[in-house]
Amino acid sequence: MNKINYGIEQIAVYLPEQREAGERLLRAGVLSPKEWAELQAQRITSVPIEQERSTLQIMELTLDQLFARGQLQPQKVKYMIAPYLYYSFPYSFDIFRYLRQRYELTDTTCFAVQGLLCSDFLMGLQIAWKLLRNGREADSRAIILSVERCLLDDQRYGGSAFLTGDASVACVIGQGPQHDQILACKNHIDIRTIPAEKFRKKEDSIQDYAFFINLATTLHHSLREAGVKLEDVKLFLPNNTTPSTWLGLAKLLRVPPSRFFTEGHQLIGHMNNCDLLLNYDLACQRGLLASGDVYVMLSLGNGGGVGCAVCRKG
Amino acid sequence: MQSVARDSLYLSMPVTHRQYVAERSLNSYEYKLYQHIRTLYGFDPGNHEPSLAPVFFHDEPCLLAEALYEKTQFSTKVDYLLCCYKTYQLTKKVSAPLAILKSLGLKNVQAFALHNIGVLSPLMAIEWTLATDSTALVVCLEQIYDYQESQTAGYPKADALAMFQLSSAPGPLEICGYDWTLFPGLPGEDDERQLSALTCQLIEQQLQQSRLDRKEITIIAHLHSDAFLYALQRQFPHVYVRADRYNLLTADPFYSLEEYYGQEKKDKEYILLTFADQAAGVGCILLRDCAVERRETR
Repeated sequence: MNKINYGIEQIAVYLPEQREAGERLLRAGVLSPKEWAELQAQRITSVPIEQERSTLQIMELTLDQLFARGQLQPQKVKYMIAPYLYYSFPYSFDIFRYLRQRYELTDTTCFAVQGLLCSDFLMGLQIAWKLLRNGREADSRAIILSVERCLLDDQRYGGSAFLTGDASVACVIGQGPQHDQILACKNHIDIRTIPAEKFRKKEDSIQDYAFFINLATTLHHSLREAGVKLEDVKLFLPNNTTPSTWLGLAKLLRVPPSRFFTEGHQLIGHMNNCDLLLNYDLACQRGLLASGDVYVMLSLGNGGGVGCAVCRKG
Repeated sequence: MQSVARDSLYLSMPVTHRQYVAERSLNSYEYKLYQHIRTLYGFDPGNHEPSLAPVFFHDEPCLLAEALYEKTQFSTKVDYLLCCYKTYQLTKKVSAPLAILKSLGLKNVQAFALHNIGVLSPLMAIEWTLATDSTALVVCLEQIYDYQESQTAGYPKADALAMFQLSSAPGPLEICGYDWTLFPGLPGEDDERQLSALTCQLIEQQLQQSRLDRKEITIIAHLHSDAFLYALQRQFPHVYVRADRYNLLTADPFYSLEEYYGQEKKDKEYILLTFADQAAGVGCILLRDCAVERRETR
């Protein structure tokens, strides 16, 4: 049993090339003229969307990247965990059976994680991390595979806060050389922040004082477990909900806002549970993380689910 | 078999919701989305006459959890609320786990759902509870959206809601082991036959590893189909079959277990719950009845 040193060995992201303009959502009545104007003021005008491929195909395009590198042995993959928000295939279609067959994942148990909405990804990460740490084989791996796909126009609705596109991401959790070590991973839900119904309207508040307290508390608990000080965190990678949430958190924590990477919100859109790896990929492309840097993934979901992972770049 | 160390994990007696109605309509946004998904994947909505079979709860399963929980004497000191389902929970609430968590008023409890593994997610709940050395309240809930969704080649599906606790604190049923086998290869015509063959194989492995004889164990059959039941009954002498003949998916073995213990006193020390899913695979949980004197067979 190896309790330490599991981390993110590699990642793969799939973003469609085609983008959908907000004007069409305006014409379809999904966005109001005021909401559209407010999105434009934030330079949010379009999001990547998938029009040609099925959900299974975009999952395959993501996993193909992991297996094409030749470092991942299928027989070592013990779990494949899929955190996602939007249903995009029927429950009766066993999508994982196709994936297990295609990638020869003969000893892999696949299941989905849901319920925390846009915070499911870090719950999936925590599950993979804990299950591997409790396992008997030190060289086992887990794949976390997220796919977010809007099949109806109003699923792209984020009021004047964001637009939602389509994407798929994956990462491998293991103990390979040069992986990003996961130092701590925690999730928290506060029953006071759970709304009576789903948020569907602009006038529904998505800023709640308790959200900030829960985010800060979960972050502090995670940092303590990781043995890392707040000032040692090089970069915070939040999900692409509303930048004002993260800037508000930066203020509460007395951390310079520049340490919160919020560009993904405008560049990519809010891809629910794909945000964190998409943002991590963007941050790496921009050279914002060097070997040894500590970074923190943070997510807040509708309903108030908070996730936090403290990692050290490999 | 994943064996569980002695005295390390116990299952409470499950409780279930059993009030069914013949008609119930869904009007949530998620139902609209799911109808679209069914069309995309070529599921013919057909032109079925509405069934008078009582397969629906009067409300969403997640909204009935509070009333069911009030009937229990479960410990409120739980670490996790784990929702298990095969059928997506098309709820008007923010999500089924969060709606249940809020309605039960469970503070400092992490909730999430495990699914997309057919009917086998309760086994993932055991896996998680053992990995985290925690106490979990497990809610297996199934939602049948309409008559079309109820129909299968085997027994019809029905709404379901079962609740139980997994804890290291001594309880009525000790979990001795659990295991699952996922179907190899792509879906095929042979799946139905393989289902019973794989289940029998899994049971035999459990018996062998636990050094138990077939006569010493009661097998709780998943109500999948007549063929599945006959296959189990041909091979094992004590197979308990619930009378209703509905497939309650992830909750099915727990409905049977509750019913089994509602009958006259049982003298078998070991009980084996079976899980059978034609798309995903098969699973089982080996239980020891703590009320029966231990025979040191393990």
